[in-house]
Amino acid sequence: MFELSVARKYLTPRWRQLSVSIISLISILVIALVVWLIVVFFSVTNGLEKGWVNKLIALTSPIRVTPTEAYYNSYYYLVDGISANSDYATKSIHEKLSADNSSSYDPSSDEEAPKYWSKPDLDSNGQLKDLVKEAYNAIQNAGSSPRPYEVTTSNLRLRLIRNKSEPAGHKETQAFLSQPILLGSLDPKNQAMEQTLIPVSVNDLNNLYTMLSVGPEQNTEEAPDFIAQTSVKLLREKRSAFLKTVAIKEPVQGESPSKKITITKAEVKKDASPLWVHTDANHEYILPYDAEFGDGILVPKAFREAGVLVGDRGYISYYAPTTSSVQEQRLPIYVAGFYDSGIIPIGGKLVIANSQLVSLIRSSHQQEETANTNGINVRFDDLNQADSIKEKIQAGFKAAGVDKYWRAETYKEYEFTKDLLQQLKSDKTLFTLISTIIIIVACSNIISMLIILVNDKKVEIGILRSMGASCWSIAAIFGTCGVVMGVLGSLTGTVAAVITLNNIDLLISFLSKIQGHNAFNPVFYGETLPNEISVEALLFVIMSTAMISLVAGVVPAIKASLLRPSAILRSE
Amino acid sequence: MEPQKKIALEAKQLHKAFYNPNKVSILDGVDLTVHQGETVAIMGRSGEGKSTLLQILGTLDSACKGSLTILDQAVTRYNKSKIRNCNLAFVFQSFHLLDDYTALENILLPASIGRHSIEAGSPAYVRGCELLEHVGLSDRAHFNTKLLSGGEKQRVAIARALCNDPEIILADEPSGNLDRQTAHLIHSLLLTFAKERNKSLIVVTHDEELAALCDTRYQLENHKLYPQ
Repeated sequence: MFELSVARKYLTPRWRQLSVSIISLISILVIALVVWLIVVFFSVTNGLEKGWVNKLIALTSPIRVTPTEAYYNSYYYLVDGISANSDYATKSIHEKLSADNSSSYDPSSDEEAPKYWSKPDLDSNGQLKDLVKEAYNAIQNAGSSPRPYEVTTSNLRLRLIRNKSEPAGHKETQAFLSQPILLGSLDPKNQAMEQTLIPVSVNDLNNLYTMLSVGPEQNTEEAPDFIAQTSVKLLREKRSAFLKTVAIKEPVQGESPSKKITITKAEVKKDASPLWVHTDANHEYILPYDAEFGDGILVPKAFREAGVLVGDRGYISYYAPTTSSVQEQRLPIYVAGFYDSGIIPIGGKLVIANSQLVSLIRSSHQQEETANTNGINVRFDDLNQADSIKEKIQAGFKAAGVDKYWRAETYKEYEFTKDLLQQLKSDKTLFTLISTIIIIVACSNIISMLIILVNDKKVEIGILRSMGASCWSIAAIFGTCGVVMGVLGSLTGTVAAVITLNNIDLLISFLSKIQGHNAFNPVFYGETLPNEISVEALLFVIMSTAMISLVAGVVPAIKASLLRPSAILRSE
Repeated sequence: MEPQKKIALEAKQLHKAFYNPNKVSILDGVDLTVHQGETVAIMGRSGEGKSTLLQILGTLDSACKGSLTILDQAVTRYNKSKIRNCNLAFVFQSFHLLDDYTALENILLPASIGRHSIEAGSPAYVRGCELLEHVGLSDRAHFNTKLLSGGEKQRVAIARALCNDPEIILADEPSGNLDRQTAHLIHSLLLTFAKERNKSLIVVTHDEELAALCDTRYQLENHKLYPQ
C-alpha cells in the first residue's frame, strides 16, 4: 500500500534526518518505558490478587451459602432442640444433611412446640421441607459441589520441647504456646488446599521423630527428660511406617540419645500414611489421627514463625457445661502441618481440624450461630463463573421455595474480603487513570516528532500531491507514522516487561540491595513476588498507545494534508 | 479534410490575483484550448505568471474565477487528485524526484498512488522498466536518484510523468537547469513522446528553440495570453 510504503521510508532512521530519527527513537523509548511499567505493575498486582484470592478460596470457597436469620428461627432448625432423638440439641448443617428425616421430633413423646415459633414450612405433600437437602440439591443442580463447613472457638495450647545446642552440650528445653483460636473443619475434597500447604521440612521431621517417642505417660508438662531415652532403634521402627529411605546421622550404633540423631534427608513411601497432612489414593486430604498423639491439626504459618514444628503436641480446650458446673475439656492434638493463610484477617487464628473434632466442640458448648460459623462451601473450577453460578443457585433456591432461608455470596462479597478486594480494584482503577495520563504524555512526543517530519518532508508532500496523492493519503502517511511509533513502543515495552517478569527475582534482589531491606515484605507478598501477565493490561496498553498515537498523529497529519502543493513547489 | 481533434484541455476566462495586502493581478481572463496530441509553448517574461498559469492548468492551484475542463471533465475540488493521477503529469525545472527512492521506484510512484500493483512483473512495473529503457537509463534503475546527474534526473522525471499514461504533460522550464546539449536531449525526448503517443504537451519556457518546436506558441503578457 502506497501510504504504508511511504511511512516506512519516513520512519527508517537516516543520517540526513538525524534530528527526526533521534526524536523518534526517544519517543519510542519513552512509550516502551511506560508500557513496561504498566505491564509489570499490572502483572504483579494481578499475580498478587490471584494468589490472595486463591489462598482465600482455598480456606473458604468461591461461593458460600449461609443460613439466614429465617433459617435459625425456622421450625425445621429449632425443633431438634425439643427432640429427645437429637438429645435436645439443634443440629449443624452437616448433621442435618446426614440425618434420615427432616426432623427427629416425635410428637407422641416430645414436648409441644411453643406457639411463638414460626409455622412448619411444608412441601406439596404436606411433609416438612428439608431445608438443607433442598439447598444441596439446588447447589448440585447449578453444576457445583457443596461441602458443609463449621467453625467454632476454643483454646489451643502447644508444648514446644526442643534440644538446644549450647557450648556446654545439648540441653532440653520446653516452652508453651497458648492462644484462643477459631477451629475450622477440613474439607478433604478441597483440592485448592494444595496452594496453601507449606511442605514439611527436615526440622519438622526431626521434631516429629523425637516426639514419636513421647508416650502418653510422658505427655505431661514436667521437665522433658524423656528425650534422652529416644533411640535409633525406636526411630527406625517408627519411620518404617511411612518413610522409604531416610539418612540418619548416627554417630553411635544401637541405643543412642536423640540429641545425637539427626535426619538429613528422607523420602516418603508411596501410598504411605505419614503423620502430617497428605492426600490419599482418591486425592482427598487427610489430617491423620494417632492413638497416642491425638488429632492432627493444620495451623497458620504464623505459628511456624513463632517456632512451632510439625509433631509438636498439645491440646485444644473448651468449656462445656456439666450437671454441676462448666468445666474445661481437653482434647489431645498435634501439629500435622502448616498452611499459608495469605492476608485474610482471620488467617492468623484459624486452625483447621477434622470435622468430627470441630462438631464435637461446637455441639458441646453454647455458641451463637453466625454466617461464619456454619454454612456450605460451594466449589467449582472456573472462578470467573462465580457470579453466574451464584445466580443459578439463587434461582434453584427460589424454585425449591427455600430462598428466604439461605444467602449465597461470592468471594467478592465476603465480609472479611470485601474491603481488600474493593481496595485492590480501586488501586487498579487509580493506576489505570495514572497510566492513561502517562501514556498521553509519552505519546505527546510523537506530535513534536511528526511536526518536524512534516516540515522536513514539505517538498515531498508537494511532489506526491502533484502526482495525484489525495489529502487523505498524505494524512494517512503521517497518521501511520504516529501509530507505528506507538505500536513499536508498546511492543518493545511488552517484550521488556515479559523479560523482567521472567526474571523478577533478580529485580527484587537488586531493589532490596539498594534499599538495604526486603523490597517486598514476604508476609504480604509471599516468598517470591507472584506475577501473571495481565492480558487486560496488555490489551489496554497496546490499544491505548495505538489510539493515543493516532490522535497525536492527527494534528501533524492534518497540517500536512492542508499544505498547498502549488505554494510548496513554487518556493522550491 | 483533417478530422476535428478532441479537446484535451480547455480554460475559459481564468483570473488569478494575490492580495498582499493590495490586489496584485496575475491572470486576467486567460483563455486556452489544447487539443489531443498538440504541443503548446507558453512564453513570457519572468514574473509574468507563466508558472502560476501552468499550476492552475495542472490543478495544483485554483483560479479566482474562470473554468477549467480536462478531457471533458470540469475540474472541481473533489476530482483534482484523481485527474492529476490519471490524466496529468508534471515535469519540473528542479526535477523533484524523491531522494530516498531509486530511479525505478520514482517512476512507479504515480502507479502506486493510483493503487496499481508495482510488484516485479506487474503491468505497471513492466511499463516503468520500458520507460526507463526509453530514456536510456536501464542501467540506473536501482540507483538512488541522489547519485544521478541533472540530465539523468530529468530523464527519470520524464519517464515518471509517463508512468500512468496521462493525456496531458505539463512541463515547467524542463531544461532550465541543464546545459545546452542535455537540454536538446530533454526537448527531443519530450516532443518525441508527445508526438509518438499522441499526448498533449504544455510547456512553459524561455527557450525560443524549444518553443519553435511546438505546434502552438503563446505569449503571456499583461496578464493575458496572446497567440504568436
